[in-house]
Amino acid sequence: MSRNDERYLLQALEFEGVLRACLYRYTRNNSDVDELLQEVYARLLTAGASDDPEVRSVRAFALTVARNVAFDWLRHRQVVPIELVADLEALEVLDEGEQIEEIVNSHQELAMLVKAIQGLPDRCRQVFTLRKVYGYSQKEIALRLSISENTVEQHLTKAARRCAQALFDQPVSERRSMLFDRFRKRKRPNVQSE
Amino acid sequence: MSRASDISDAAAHWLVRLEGQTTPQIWDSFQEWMDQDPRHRAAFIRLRVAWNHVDLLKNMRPVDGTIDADLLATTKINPSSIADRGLVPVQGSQRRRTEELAMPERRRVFAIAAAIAAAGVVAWFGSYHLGWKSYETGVGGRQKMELADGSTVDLNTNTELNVRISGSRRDIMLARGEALFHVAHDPNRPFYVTAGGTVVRAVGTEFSVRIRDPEHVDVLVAEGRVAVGAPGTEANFENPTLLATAPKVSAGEAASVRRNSVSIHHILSTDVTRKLRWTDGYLAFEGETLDDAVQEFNRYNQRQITITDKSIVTVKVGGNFRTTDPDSFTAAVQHMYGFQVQVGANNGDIRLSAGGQPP
Repeated sequence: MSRNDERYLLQALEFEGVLRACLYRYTRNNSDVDELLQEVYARLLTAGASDDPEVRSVRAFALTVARNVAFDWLRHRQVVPIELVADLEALEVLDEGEQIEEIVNSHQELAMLVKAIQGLPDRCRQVFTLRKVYGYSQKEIALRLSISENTVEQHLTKAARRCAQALFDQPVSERRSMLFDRFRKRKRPNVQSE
Repeated sequence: MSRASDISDAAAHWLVRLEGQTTPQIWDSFQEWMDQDPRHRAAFIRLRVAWNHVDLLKNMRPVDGTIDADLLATTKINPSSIADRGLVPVQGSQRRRTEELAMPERRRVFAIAAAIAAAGVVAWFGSYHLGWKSYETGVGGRQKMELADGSTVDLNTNTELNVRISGSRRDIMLARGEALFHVAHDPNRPFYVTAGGTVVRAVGTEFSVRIRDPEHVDVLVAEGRVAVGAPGTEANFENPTLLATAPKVSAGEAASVRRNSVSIHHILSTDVTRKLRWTDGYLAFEGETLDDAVQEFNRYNQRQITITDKSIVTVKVGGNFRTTDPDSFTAAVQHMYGFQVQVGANNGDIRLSAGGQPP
């Protein structure tokens, strides 16, 4: 089994919603959550590259990292309301207990994705469709739609961010399954005889 | 705008830029950006995983080969119908599918019109994407089947495969596991296998594809020649230029495909046969390490073998074994090397250790 340094991060993407919820308790605002989440992911990458022993529960580990990142952030802001601290102490337990393993099937995942794509401006959606459904190159899309390659690039950039949001940044109750099955190391589906 | 948003935006921009025309200069400045800050890399990986995953929308391509940039528009597709029905119909018999394909054009149009009249636009959308058929084997399972075009496919253990045969192309999506394709020759209908981010194109040949992980795929060619597109590269082989410049793997060669790279090595014809023995339900070893052999057995069995002594993992093993009979294998190494074999009482898992006395 190859030990690549992305492994903790790849697993953590699976419960991005939980990490966001955890960070939100400290920041109480979403743009700070985005900020801190990136730092959490960066630390998971660094941890994946270190020689430390393999983390047993990536979920528990990632939540600890998230809390540390949040504490650093609070310390940096210097002012920490007392009731917030008390609140956080109480939440320590809650985070660990939050083992919600809801499975959303691949159809639902697709539906969420299509819904997100439909939220894009028309031109952006068309560029995305030609690229991802039909596999056209960026150059071919530019020719077909009579727009510059630069514009194609801009549309795809926007679409890529939207896709990541649709797939990862979901409320915990809308977890998807299929995407992450591929990262699970050992699967033991039911036996099917020859 | 926050810095987090700037980083995500930059990461998305790199992702898209690298898909377009890449020069060594662009690649260098990308690497520079990636190395500047671990947050850059993290944001890029997150987007890359999502972006590659979105390739599953290729399943939505209409069977008749028409291109519609508005395919995903709200007027044409209803997300809640996808949530209910999905895009890949799991039900439906192969025979019926063939009949539908063989139906004369006018009758088909009529049938579709009737379907719309009968069940409304949502149902029409469902039939529009019909043509994908799913096959699956569990751990230890194996299945041989014939496709509508006369090609045959062998599915190995724990494998999932989606197939769509149309008038202009043959599409296979290997979702997990391993399969051997014996492709019926048809230059007018190229045979595409996508596995993770890897694309393999053939017209008439015999080759196997195995997904080790989404960005590491093995291709083994027994007969003929295939074109291979690595994850992260432009692999739209309908484009003749891209097809001409793509790496080719010929009979007696195996390719290890990873992100942006295809490494091809020659293998002996006897080894090709040996590596494909799984099609008969056998594993044939000839100098593989104990570790590799154990990993092979673990693919085919719920009962897992673990090696508890690092000192023995590189021991070389040989012999033919049933894929679903790990006990014969462990008995053989016990006999040959004096290793100790312990079988767990509840789950039957097997532990291999160096054992007390040498043979």
